Amino acid sequence: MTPPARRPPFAVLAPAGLGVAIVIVPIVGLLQRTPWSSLLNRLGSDTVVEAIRVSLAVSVVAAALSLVLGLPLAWLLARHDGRLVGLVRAAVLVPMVLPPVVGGTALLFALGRRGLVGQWLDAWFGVTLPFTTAGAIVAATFVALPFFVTTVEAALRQAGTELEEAAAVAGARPVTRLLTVTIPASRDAIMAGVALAWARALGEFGATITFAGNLAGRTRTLPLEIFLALESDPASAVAVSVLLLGVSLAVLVALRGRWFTR
Amino acid sequence: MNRRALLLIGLVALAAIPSLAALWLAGPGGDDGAVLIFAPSSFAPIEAELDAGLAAEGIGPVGWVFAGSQSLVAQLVDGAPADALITADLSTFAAAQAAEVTWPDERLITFNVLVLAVADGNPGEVTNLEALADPDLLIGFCAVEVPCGRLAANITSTLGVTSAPDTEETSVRALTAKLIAGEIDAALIYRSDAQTTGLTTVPVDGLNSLTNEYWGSGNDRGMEILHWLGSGAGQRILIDSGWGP
Repeated sequence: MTPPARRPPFAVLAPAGLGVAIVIVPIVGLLQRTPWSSLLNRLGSDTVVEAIRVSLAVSVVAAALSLVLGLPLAWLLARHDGRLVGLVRAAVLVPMVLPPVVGGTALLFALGRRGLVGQWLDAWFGVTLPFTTAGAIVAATFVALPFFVTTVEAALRQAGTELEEAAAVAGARPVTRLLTVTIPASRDAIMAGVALAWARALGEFGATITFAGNLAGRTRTLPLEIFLALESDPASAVAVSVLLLGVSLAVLVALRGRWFTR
Repeated sequence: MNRRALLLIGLVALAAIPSLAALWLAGPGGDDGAVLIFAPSSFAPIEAELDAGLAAEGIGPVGWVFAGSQSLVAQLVDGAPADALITADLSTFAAAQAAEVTWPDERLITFNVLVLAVADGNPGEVTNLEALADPDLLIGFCAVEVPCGRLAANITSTLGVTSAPDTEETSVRALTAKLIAGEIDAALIYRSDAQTTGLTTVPVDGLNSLTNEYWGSGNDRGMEILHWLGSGAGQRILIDSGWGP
């Protein structure tokens, strides 16, 4: 039962207000520095359009990979228990808490052309991932996948077990149950997972700049464009920042059914 | 004492203990009397040598703030406290003057040239600047937005060399790191960065025909450091690390 509404005590209001201010003040600062009159011109410049193109390609493919690799993974984690499953779950979540620059360094030493796996990719297939769009996609997927897996695993745990059992009793095979019962039942969570993974991939900076390099039209995504523009044209850096802020807010609004109102 | 007061004290303690610990860990900040010098990141590898040289003459202590030259200027424009600014090229220094973040006193500190540096063992078998246009090699440049990239663009156009970069890094330090990791075959980097990191270089005629001049400006305390950098002792450290003639 909720107690009757009354004014919260100051000891609660003050730190809560400060918490809100820590989040809101920088955004207000960004908007206050935004060159509104030339915003569209700056976002339409060749370098920014090229970075938007790279960013869209990288983030969409990374979100798709998160879906294709993450859905079976989330299902395995949700339906099985044991020490090994726990270890896999912990490993998959590591990129969420790892500083992205550490992720990029790890990717470089694993998949770079002198890396653990990368040297064989290079020798056998002539594939070098660093400095390619594929490398940027790998970096983005590395950081985005855990967001999809956690979101979907939680939903799969809550929903579907009883329906799955009913389907099993009716004689449906595991893959059929997954495709016809479990996935439709968790459709909202899967879409939210894709949106979160996409947003995280779109904002990826540290792992990309460390692992994939920085070349216009190939690996220079929007966050890298912001970092570079800060050196020469801060107003354009702010303009691109506002664009990404807008996209982030749009993702939040799209997900509001899940988190905004609860 | 009632429960609410206890809770309040608990919350304050919860916030205060990590804050005090963080303050203690962060140690004395920039306002403990150190002279704050905003210097280009190419100086970062010789920080210890410079500090030792300054201490030997009883100057300082100095707090170094290393970043790309334009970032340094941007920080000053945003009100960062500093006693002196050194930029890695003249055009950035001019930008700082235009933004009115320099002091009346200024001086030339040193200059830097570019060298053609290669990954360990020279896997790309690079022998001359034509390699920079070889699509089969992985070639790195600094972005033209930063001083080392501007100098590289000037040099390649002066020498009539075309280039096919695979990455344009935002600082010469990031570019050097990728060479050290062996992920790129060749890059134009500062001679000082090649020398302080022990990278192999390929001799190329004409690369030293253009230089980046390091200019500095500061208040009285800052100028004392800048004059020391220009003195025999300071120049010796810089020349030993690849700057100057």
